[in-house]
Amino acid sequence: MRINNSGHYEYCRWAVKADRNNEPNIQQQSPLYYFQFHMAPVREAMLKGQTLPGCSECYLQEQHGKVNGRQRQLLKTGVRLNDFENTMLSSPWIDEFVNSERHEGVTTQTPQDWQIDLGNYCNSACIFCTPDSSSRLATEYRRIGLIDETPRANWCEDTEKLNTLIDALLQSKIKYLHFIGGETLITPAFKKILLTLVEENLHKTITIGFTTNLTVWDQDIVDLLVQFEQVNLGMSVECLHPLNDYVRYGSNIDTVKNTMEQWIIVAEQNHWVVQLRITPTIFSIWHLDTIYQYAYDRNISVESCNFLNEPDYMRPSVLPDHMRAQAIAKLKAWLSNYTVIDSEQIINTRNPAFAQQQLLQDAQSYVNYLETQADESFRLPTLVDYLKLIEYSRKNNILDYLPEYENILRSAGY
Amino acid sequence: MKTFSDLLATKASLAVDVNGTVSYMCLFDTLVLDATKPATVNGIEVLPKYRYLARDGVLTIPSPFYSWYHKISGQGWLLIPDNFSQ
Repeated sequence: MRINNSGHYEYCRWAVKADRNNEPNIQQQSPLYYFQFHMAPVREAMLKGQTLPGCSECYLQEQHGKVNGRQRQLLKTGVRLNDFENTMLSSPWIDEFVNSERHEGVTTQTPQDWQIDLGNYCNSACIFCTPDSSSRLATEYRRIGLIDETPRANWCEDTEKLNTLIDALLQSKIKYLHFIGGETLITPAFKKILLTLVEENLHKTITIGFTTNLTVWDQDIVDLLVQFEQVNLGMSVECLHPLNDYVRYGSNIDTVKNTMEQWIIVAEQNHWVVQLRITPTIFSIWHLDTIYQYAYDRNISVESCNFLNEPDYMRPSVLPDHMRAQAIAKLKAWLSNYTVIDSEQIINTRNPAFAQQQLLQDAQSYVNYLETQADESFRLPTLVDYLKLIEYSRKNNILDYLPEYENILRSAGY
Repeated sequence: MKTFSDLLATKASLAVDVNGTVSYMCLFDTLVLDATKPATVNGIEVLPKYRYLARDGVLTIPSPFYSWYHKISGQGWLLIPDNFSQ
């Protein structure tokens, strides 16, 4: 279950974004009512064997051998797709699934695993991001005429809404809370929720997950986090190359590297789970090997939520075939340095014992994607139109960071 | 298998292969295996891989097998319902 940046509920953190704001808002409906009753048709449809349109991104990942949210969440109930019937029938949840089926998808359970989007308060303006997730990008988009209005204030700045969430958390049997922004560390609600959980003594049983953009450090929040039973730290970075500054606009690669090392030290001291969180685009796919190398050397895993879907003109599949072949060759050259153990697909991407093999499998999934995903280079002119507009605002130039792309961008009107 | 009802109607079992001899157990049976012999359960290697868990030459796998395997193979959390008892 998810509460998105505008305060609307979503039945899954990975569900595709269409119509996402047509679901109830935290002001209209309590989180527990949404979970127990409003989500009933979703559960009922799944129990009837229907494929939900919202699951399409996970199915695309499965097609290319990439571990996805569907598999990861199923695993938390003991269910594995490669042995579905046996593992489902053995799941501790089987009786609950039966009860839910008898009651048209309604459940008496409370959420155990939530993603909470804290709003769009962010000091970065990543090139693939949206105004709903970055206040800095929203301001820029309005200035250059890409949007007429900036998004409304973050839902969690409203004390009443935030208290509604906190009350629901205290009533639920929470195992895992995952926070994203905006940038979590500069969003006041993040600190307030952590503080409340510690005051209510729930930090001894709850695992906190969060992602940070590696541009800021807040020691007060670090001091709160180290009190929790477990922390899953996600560090957002696209490549270990200056191109990261262009893609994750507002960041500086040297600061990013230093901040990563600082987090890794804290994580090692406190036995946290660390992941690099990436969103490969047509640009960063070129230097994706630098991410895997960094992660391999430090025995940490790499995770991306999906194969980028929106904006469609920034998908890696927009890369023309001859450039795609070079990107594939770079990834394969990196993969050839290591031995892929012939093991089954690693679904638990947070087990450090599997980290290196996991990222080899993840890199292979991007090779599979680039080799088989349909050519979308017809979107290059749209990409160039966007670049012209955004670079006029930022006074930068993609070719300063990625000169290898000059021909393909020039041929599309750059 | 198309629906959840179809799944519930499935007659699932554990094919326990000990040194080439296969016997069939119920999904929720406790398994007691001679730890000196190679064994698989539904194709999953159990011995000698988990021999270090044996006591006095016997590996006892508590029911259900798949929950044991989830934990022992490092699959992470196994969440349980609020009212779960076993």
